Formats: sequence, C-alpha cells, structure tokens
Amino acid sequence: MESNAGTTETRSNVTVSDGGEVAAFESLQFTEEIHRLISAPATDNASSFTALLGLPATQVVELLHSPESVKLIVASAPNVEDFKGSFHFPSNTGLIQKDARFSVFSGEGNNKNEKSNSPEMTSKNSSANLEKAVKSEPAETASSLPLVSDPTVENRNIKRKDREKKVKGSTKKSKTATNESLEDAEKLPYVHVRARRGQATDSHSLAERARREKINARMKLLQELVPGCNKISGTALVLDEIINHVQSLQRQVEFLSMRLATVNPRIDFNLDSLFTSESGSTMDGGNFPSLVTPLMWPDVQVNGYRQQFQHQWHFDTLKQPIWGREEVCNNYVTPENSLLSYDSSANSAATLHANQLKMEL
Amino acid sequence: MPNLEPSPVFKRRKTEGDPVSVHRIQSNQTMKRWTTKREHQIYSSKLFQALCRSRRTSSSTSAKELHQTADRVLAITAKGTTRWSRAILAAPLTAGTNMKKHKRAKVTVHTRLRKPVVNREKRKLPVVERKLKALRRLVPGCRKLSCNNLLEETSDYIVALEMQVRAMTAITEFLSRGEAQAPTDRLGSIGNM
Repeated sequence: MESNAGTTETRSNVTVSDGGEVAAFESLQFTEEIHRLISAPATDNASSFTALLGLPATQVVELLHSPESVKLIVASAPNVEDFKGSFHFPSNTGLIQKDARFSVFSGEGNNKNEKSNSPEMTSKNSSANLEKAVKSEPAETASSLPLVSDPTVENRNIKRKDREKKVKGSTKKSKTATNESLEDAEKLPYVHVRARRGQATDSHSLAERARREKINARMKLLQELVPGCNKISGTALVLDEIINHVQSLQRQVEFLSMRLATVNPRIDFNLDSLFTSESGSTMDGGNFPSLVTPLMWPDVQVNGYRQQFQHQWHFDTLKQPIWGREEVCNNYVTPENSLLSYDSSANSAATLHANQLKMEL
Repeated sequence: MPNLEPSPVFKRRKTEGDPVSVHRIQSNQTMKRWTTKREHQIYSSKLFQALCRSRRTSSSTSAKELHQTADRVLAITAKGTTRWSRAILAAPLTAGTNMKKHKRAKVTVHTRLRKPVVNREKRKLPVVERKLKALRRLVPGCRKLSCNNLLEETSDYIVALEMQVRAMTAITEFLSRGEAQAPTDRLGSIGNM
C-alpha cells in the first residue's frame, strides 16, 4: 500500500510539473489506480485507504488546480474533508462544466465513517467523472455514474454566494442525508443540498431573493435622490414620487429653455469677453443667487480645474487676478458694444436697449 | 458629430491605466459626477458655445430647438456611459419629446380591482408594473429595460436633469442680468456726460 502511495505521489508530482492535457491524462491513470483500490473489499481497507487517500486527496485537489482550465469551488484541502458533497471534476478542457453540481454521494455502502466517506467519495467521484469524460469503464463505475448524473441540475446555482450558502448548510444536514442515502443503498442516490436554515431552498427563490435585494437597493438610492421620499413606504408610492419628480424636472427644463430663448437675443460676441464678464459679475455683488456662483468656480478655485478649463476655452483672460469695479464696467462695455452693433431683430431685447440708449443720447 | 463621440471614449478607456486617470474614470462613471462643480462648468460652457453657434446659424430662437440643444449637450457631457444619453444622441428628433400617442391600458386590467390580490410578493404587481411603464416613457431610451436597469438609469437621469436645471438657470440669470445691468451702467456713464 505504501509503495502504491509512493507511486501515486510521484505520479501526481509528475503531473503537477507537466500541466495541461498531459496532467489530465496522468490524473486519469492515477485515478485508475484508486479505482482498483476501491474495488478491493472495503472494510479492511477502510482505515488504510483513508490514510492512503489523506494525501492523495489533497494532491488530487492540487492536481486539478494546476491545469488552469479546471474550475473548482473548494480551494483548500481541509474543506475536502469537511465537505460532504462531492465534486464533479471535468478532466479535459473541452469538457469543462462551468457550474458545479453538488450531490451527496451515497457510498458503496461500505463505509459508515464520515471522514472516510468524504475523501473516498471525492476520489471516487473524480475517478468516475474522469472516466466518464474520456472513456467508458466497466460496471464498477456504472453504479457510480448515475449517481452523479445531470438531474442534480435542480441544485445548481449559477451564483457563487448561493453555492457558499449551500456549503454551509450542507455541513449541518448532510449527516442525516448520508444516513438516509446509506439506508436506501442503491436506490435513491442523491439528496439535494439545502440552502441556509429558515430560508426557501429552490434555486428559483434564491435567485429571486438576490434580484429583489438588488431592486430594493436601487429603490433606496432613488429615495435618497428624490426629496420627500424617505418618509414614504411602499414601492408604488415611491415610484409615484419618482415619476412626479422626473416630470417636474423635465417641465422645469422646458420652461427654462423657453425663457432662455426669449432672453437670449441674437448676438454674435466674443466668447472670451463674455466669460470674463461672467466672472466679473460674480465679483460684483452679494445679491447674486447661489445658482450663479457655480458658474464662477474658475475664479474661486485655484487648482487643476482651472487649467483644464483654460485649455479648453481660452481662459487666458481669467488670469487677471483682481477684478475691480471699473474693470467690470469695461468688460460690460464690450458686450454692450456688440449689442449695439448688431441691431438686428425688432423682437430682441438688445435692440430695445439700444433704442433706449439712442433716445437717451 | 455625435458619431465621433463614442470611439474616443472607448480608446481612452483602454489606454488609461495610471491611478490618476483611473480616479477620473471612476468619478466619471458614477452618478455623483453630476453633482461636481467640474461637470457643471463643463456643461454650462458647452451649452453656451452651442447656443452661440445655433444663434449664428439660425435666426429663429425657438424654445423647442433650444431644449433639444440643451438635452444633447447634456447627453454629450454624459460621455456615453448611460443609456438615456446614448438614446438622446442617437435619435435627436424623437427622444425625449416623443409625441406619439400611446395606447390606453386595456379594460381587462380593471378586473384586478374587483378581486383583492392575496399574494403580494410573488411578482411585481400590475400596479407597480404600470408605474414602471410610465417611468419607461419618461426616461429616454429605456422603453424595454428591465426594472433593475430602469431604476439605475432613472437615478442617473434625475441627477443629470438637476444639474441641467441648475446650469440653465445660471445662464439665463447671467444673460438677463448682463443685459439688465450693462445698459444701466452705460446709461449712468452716458447720463453723466
């Protein structure tokens, strides 16, 4: 047995160094050996077999880690022992299954010991799967094959967290599960692994719960955005508020655009001058509404924002540090001049002003 | 013009890897960018430029045209990260101000009111569904979006709209103020002659 253990170890070492498909093939042979060991009478071998498998189990895990194409859920060896479910290890890259399926493997009916059960089960399953993947095997595996068949799809969950939940749950409940399965022997092979305690167990409800939580999170965000929504409870009313808010915002924009259209006369002026006058006007008075001041940030902030702004919109004029009253007046003159010069439509406010000025003069 | 927008954005995403630029990207992708002063500056100056340009090209200053311009500039400032912005840019003639007549809800819906609905949490009730439908109509480009994504788009849309309102108010204020003040100054200076 120990010589066998030695050979298996060396072989697994070889496979680790090789990697890739070679590793898969080597692992096949490795599992063949295990299978021969399995087929031997069980009880006597149980203790020694587990001892034998104590190491190879971890190495199996490592083995199948090394070809990176294989996707495993349990990362470390201790989990292998604790975990009562069994893995399906796809051997070839072409046959990789993205979702892991869990099922409790009812042993060959020989081993009652849990600890011995798990590594044996994992190795058995790995062997079963690998053989199933590549070549057909004699009837010894035939009993194991249907045990890990596809109808376990019901337990399959695409989301990882759900799988983890099942891992936690399975430790509690798999004891009873294995006992039941052992009683049934070769009849009912697998028992579904349950989710967390006190929660619905279907993959459907799990998925729905995750979805609902996502939606609730988004609704909370929206509630914070929309003023006055924090007090309201209930999705429908909150949605009402959201709809009202969006409608009011859109109406505001429409109203503002109308106002802008009337206020804004047909002017063709220098952008630089206008921006300077913009900045100048803020320096002016404290009477400005707070909404206007956001426009004047390039003046207030002396940091990278300003430089970027300058680069984009020719803000050399902003470099003038002090804005006195006279300078403001001067800057106001330039748009005013342009207003006077472009005396276009009768409807424009500029022409009205221009007319007033002319009248004054 | 809008066709040029997406490709430079994607190129930028691929090449930028330094921490500073990563931060900029991250701050550019979240909802909170609409609350920053920088975005406000960018938007208001872009809007201003667009207004001047449209002034020069067309003589009429219709509110609708201005509204569309403002919406498009807002969508451009979004840099193609959200669905509603892409929808506004892709179909400027229809998105946002769609005047299509919508079919009325069928009468069969009212039968629900007679029977009290027992299970509340099984699925999104038709009540909530109808509200979601209304929301889909409001947010541009979200007609066939799932509930989840719709809520996300709505939140970004709301913040963007708020910024748009702030910027437009500031511009109108400035312009009206500028016109109101400048002539008076001029008047004052002229009157003193």
